[in-house]
Amino acid sequence: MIDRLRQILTEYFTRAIAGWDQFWFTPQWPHLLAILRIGCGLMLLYSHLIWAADLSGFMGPDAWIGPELSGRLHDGTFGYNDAGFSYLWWVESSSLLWLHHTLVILVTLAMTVGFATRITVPLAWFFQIMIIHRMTGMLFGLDQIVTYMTMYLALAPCGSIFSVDAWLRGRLAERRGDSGAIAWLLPGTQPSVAAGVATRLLQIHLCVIYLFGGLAKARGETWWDGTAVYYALVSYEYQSFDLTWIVNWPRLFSFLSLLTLFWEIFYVALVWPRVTRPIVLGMAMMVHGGIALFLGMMTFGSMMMLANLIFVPPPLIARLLGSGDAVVGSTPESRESDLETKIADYERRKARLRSKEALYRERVDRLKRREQKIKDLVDRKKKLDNESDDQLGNESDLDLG
Amino acid sequence: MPESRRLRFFFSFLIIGHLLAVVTAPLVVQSRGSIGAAPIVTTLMSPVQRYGEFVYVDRGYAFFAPDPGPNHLIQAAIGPAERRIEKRIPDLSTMWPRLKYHRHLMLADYFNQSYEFPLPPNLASEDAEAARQWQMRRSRYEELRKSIADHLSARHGGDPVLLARIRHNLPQFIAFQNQPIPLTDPRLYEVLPDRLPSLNIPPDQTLPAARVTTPAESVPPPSADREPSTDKQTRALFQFDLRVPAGSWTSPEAGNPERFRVLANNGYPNFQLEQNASAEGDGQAAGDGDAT
Repeated sequence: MIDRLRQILTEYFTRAIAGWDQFWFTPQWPHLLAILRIGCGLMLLYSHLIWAADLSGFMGPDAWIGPELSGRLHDGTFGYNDAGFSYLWWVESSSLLWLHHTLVILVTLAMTVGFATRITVPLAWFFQIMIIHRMTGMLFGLDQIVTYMTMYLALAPCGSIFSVDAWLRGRLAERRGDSGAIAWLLPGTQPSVAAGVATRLLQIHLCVIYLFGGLAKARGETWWDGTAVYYALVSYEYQSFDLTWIVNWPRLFSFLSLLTLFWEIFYVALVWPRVTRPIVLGMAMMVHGGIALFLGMMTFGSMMMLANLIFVPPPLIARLLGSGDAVVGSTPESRESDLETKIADYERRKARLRSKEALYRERVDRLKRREQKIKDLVDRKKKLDNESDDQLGNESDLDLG
Repeated sequence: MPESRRLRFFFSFLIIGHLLAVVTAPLVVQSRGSIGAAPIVTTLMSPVQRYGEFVYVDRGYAFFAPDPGPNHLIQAAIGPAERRIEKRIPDLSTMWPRLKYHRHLMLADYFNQSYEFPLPPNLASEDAEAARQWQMRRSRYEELRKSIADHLSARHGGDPVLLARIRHNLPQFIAFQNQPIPLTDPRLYEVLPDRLPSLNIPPDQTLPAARVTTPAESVPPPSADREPSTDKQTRALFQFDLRVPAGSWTSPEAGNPERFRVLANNGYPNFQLEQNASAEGDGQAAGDGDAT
């Protein structure tokens, strides 16, 4: 009994660990991350250009929230002490600020076009964190999603395709061969564990965002009585167009309110199965498209739509790009690597099937043993019945006699 | 896949740590009640809290939640009375592109969220710690107000600046359906006063403990039958000469009978702030308008 329990637990944990490893450490192609790099880089660039449009007003010594005060909002002076830190709290020189911001814009531009991405993407993330902690009080959802995407992209070789790096790699490899430094700095277009981890982290982070966004809404009244979408659309400071006509369509806005509420809460569960994924992602496009078009947040809406692409399977991306080769592999090394990944995947599946087969065999044996036991019991009962019938027959014969 | 089991274990450890920071931050926000966040959540978050704060994953993700609410604006009167100009933050007509406008909308919202009432009378003698905490929150608001005013002053040749917090309420569904009004109708706007929620508390009366320790985050609505403010400076700064029946156009929490004069309307209501002589003279103003 104890041995059996131990065996069941061992099998469970072995399978759980294998599942964990498969989920996190299966190599992924970088194509999707490269697309996200370009989109995210463009948005980050736009955001930095907006800061630059009034740099002294946003970050200078006479900014809306001065640099010193910005630091004190984090250091416990007002009772709130967090680990947010930015060297920009001490930058008061206008020229230094411009120099810094020019560097930030150049690095972000490099990230977007895919130049030296092993360095520029982490650097773009670092600059973004510094700006985020400096600009406390002027941030919103856009800054969150852009920062998270940049953070996860910094982990992956997202510049290995659709980039200047890819072009440089081809040229340098021809001249100098594929040395270690070049291979690291200009990674080849092949599946990598880093790309897989970055993909999974962004996927899970999105699930957390939607789950808690939905739960927060569920605490309100208007998302339940259906008026939330009406109130959002008549919010003058947000709206892009006059949508007050919606007041005469209560069934429409209450439907949209409840749909949004349930979609957000169940996103975490329904985005994983292949059957429901297209519906959930389609709704994401509609909800965020609506926010972008009607609620004056084109930036936030479009970034959330872009982020949702992380759930699109690579083959579909290849089809959308009109190139099967994009995912099948464009170089002999990448094809070989792809084959290795597939073989490893088949091996894992085979091992899992064997483990299941062993379990089934064991169950069949157990059932056979039970069947045999039941048969034995039935036979014994029959035998006993026959014996008792014989005995009764003999007794009645005696009585008659 | 990393071949080494140790390497996989190490990366798994990092991943779990990061996910802990990602999940516990909004959980803390959602589990926060009158006694603080759920102890199990704060305990889980503690090892990764500083990390989460630095990488900015310490967010609550409450977009338009729990309910879409009113927006907040900052109204600024800049310069002495004879050449005073009015500015509203944000202002779509001057702040372009939209992202720039949105940054300023967030600033006005943050300014309003940071608001804390002036220290209640006698609180320091009743509960020194509560008074210290209260004063810290109040200082935060005052520093923000000063910083915003300093910014505007620097942009306008050092002119004095008065600031007011304005709430733009959303039109109630039923009333709006029955009789639509423009979203910029002056009746939807209200000035948020800078004073304790109830003016009926005599200065020598101790405030209830619950109110002292957990102050409301926004200005509670005055009752419809309440008399307009007797605060002379406030009355002078914002002409409370109009009264709006409570709850007629604004959401229930915004039934403020106090109004301010709308002197011009060029698409937006334009609130002319009128500074009284004493505020202008010493450069200080209490009440809704604050001078620096």
